[in-house]
Amino acid sequence: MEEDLALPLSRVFGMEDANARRSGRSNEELVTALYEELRPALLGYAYHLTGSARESEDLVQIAFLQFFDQLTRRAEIRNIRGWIYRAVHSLAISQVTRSRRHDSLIREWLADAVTEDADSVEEALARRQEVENALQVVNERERHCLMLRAEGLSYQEIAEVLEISAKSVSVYLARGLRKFEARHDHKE
Amino acid sequence: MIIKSKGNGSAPHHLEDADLISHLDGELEAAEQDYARAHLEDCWHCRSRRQAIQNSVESFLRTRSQIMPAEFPPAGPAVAQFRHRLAQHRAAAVSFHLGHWLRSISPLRLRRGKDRQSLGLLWSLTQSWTYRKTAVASLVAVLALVLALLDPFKWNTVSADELLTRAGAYEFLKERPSGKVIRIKTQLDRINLTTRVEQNLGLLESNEDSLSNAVFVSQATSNGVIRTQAITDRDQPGSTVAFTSEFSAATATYLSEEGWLPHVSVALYKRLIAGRGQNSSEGASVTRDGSAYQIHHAFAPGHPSQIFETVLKLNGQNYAPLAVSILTVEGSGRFEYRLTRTAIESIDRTPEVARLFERPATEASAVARLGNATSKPEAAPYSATTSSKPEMAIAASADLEVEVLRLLHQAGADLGEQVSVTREENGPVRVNGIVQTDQRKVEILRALHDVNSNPAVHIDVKTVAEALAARSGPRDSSRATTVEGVEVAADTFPAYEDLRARMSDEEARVFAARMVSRSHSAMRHAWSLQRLMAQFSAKDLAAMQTEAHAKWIELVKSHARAFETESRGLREQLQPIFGAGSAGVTPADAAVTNDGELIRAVARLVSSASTNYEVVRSAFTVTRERATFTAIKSEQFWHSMRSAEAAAASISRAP
Repeated sequence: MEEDLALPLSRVFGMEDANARRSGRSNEELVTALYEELRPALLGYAYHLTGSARESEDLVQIAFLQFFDQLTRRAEIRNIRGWIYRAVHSLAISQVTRSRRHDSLIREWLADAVTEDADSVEEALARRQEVENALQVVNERERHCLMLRAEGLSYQEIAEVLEISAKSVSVYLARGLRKFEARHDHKE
Repeated sequence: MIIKSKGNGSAPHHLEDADLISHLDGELEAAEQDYARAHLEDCWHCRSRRQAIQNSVESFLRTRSQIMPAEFPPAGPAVAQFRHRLAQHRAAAVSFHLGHWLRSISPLRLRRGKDRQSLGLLWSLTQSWTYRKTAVASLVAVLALVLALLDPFKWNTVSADELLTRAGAYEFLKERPSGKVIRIKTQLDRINLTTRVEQNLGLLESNEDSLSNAVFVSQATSNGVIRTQAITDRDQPGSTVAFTSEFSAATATYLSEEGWLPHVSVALYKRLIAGRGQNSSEGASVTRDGSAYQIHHAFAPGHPSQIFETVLKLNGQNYAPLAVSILTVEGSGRFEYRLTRTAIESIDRTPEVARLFERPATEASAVARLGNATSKPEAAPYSATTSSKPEMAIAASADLEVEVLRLLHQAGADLGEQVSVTREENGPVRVNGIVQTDQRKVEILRALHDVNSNPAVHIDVKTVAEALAARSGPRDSSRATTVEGVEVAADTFPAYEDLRARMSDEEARVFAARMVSRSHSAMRHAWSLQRLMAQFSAKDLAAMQTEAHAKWIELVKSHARAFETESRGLREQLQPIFGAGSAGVTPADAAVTNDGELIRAVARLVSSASTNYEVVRSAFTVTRERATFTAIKSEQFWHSMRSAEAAAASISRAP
């Protein structure tokens, strides 16, 4: 199993780092270390999909538990980061479609965001809505591509997460940006 | 792609947006990349489009940052939670894999599909040696795996503290969802450890509010009595007194002092062992009972509560609390009080449910709410004697008054309950009291049984319900509204940051609650001392008989000792955190040789104790305004803590 892990981990951490990390470490420690490392970026992506910091935290953890299962089953994962993003992605999508609680999620977001400033709930809600609208012009797939690219994923990784071809990633990105920009110009 | 799309003519074929963005991202293949670079050098049109794409990337990133929260929760707690979850997950996965494997090597499975299957198991085993070898080898492998993965030897060495922490974490994370009401049902049995006779003592249902400190408890005892009570602050010592009556008096006193409720919870278990008179790991051990863990905590020998050991049983995989046992010595018998959790559910905190926590939860209203009319037969004989006693003006002596005080003290009824003892000049001793429950009323009347028939003693003890019923006019509705102002749970107390530097969020909150409760408990003894002093004039004391005077001194000393223990315990827990720079010198207190000096010593004690109580409260309770709490770190505070103890020590050494 150690051998199986060498390649993908080196892609995530760099070769020397990966070896240092792996030496004498159990799968648990390995998974926990990876979790610590990737958590902030994954939370950002999950948050974009679910709109809830709390749920994001939960499903990122679930994704890593699934990853742990893959490790113990010695399943071959060629690209760990892509794999985990895909796990988070599908968890988040099923979460959102299962419970269409968009409104309450926005309220939760407000409860998180509107605490100190004189920002009224209405203002924050309006601002949130504006941003949501800005993103609504691009369709779901384009938005996912843009968000994942913004997280720093390569086209190949994005393709794996969304289960599309790497070539079409660039098409979605270009189309998404064009729509986004068009709306932006129109507004200004 | 780009190269293929290149035309033959001289007119350049412009790059598509997808190619431009791929080029920007360095995602084109080498040949394509070269072509794109060359074209961009030549073509203004494409260069300006590349710039436009670059701009929209930036504006997209700006928009994206607006919908992301400024920052996510810190990694520390999340990582701790993840570790815990992973450990649990692994344990669950191991048991699943084992089950799967065992099924796969079973003989029936091995023979499946073979024509000789009909000849039966024995035949198949004897005939197919290869299969048996496979099975044996697999079994050996399974055993090795069990030893390697489950590590039963290491399990036994998991410390009690560690298990308690894990169980506490499980309970906090999994069983206390915020915004819900947690309903836990518990069965209470008593087992005579010599005869092994088991007796069911009833069922208890507790409803814990996650938004406040309130809990609504209803208890059905085996003889059909139903008690219900809403406790607004379950951390308040003595608030749970009504629900410990199934235990012996000594045990019940201890349990209610610790604010323990008879249900299965890790947090409550920690309370149960807090006053056991041993250090945290002393006398603690872990055993396995099947798949479950049992944590044992031995109590100090001869512990006043009569408890010699407590046991917390945990689920071996996820550390969920399953049962609690309290082992006691009562006379020559040994008993186990076993509490078994029969159900736990979280229910929505609807307004209807929240109404449960409103006080006062009088017996009458609570019973009506349950739609269950149950009488309290045990209360009858006592209430009859109290109300029918003829009023006679017979002068009582100070000696009799001391005796009444002593009896009340034995019942633990001189610590802040609304029970007052007064003596009129040339009149009787009057005991007036309003207590929470019928149960408590019966206890107090029982304690006063010896003086009950004395014509110079007038006893009038009512429950809250009786007192309200006796009051003419409509019920005071203002009290019901007092629970509305529930503090925001997210707010923290002033000393929170200092505690968080050393412990988890949960531990910090528990620590704070314990400090306040401990400080309150010390203060109640100080107040009792003050009342005892105010009870008698110098003239009374001088005229008192030696025996009565000795009783009075004994009462005073017992409160002083209790105060000293509580106060020292409090100081010892606070000092490592807040008293780093304080000099450990205990100030000497004047020796107490006569009543006058005793009175002055009590005054010093009460004064220091009140200051300390305020300091501790302000440091550990949640307040809306950010109070400064430097007081707890000041030299004065530590001096005051020691002064109070010194005064208490002098009092308890009084002749």
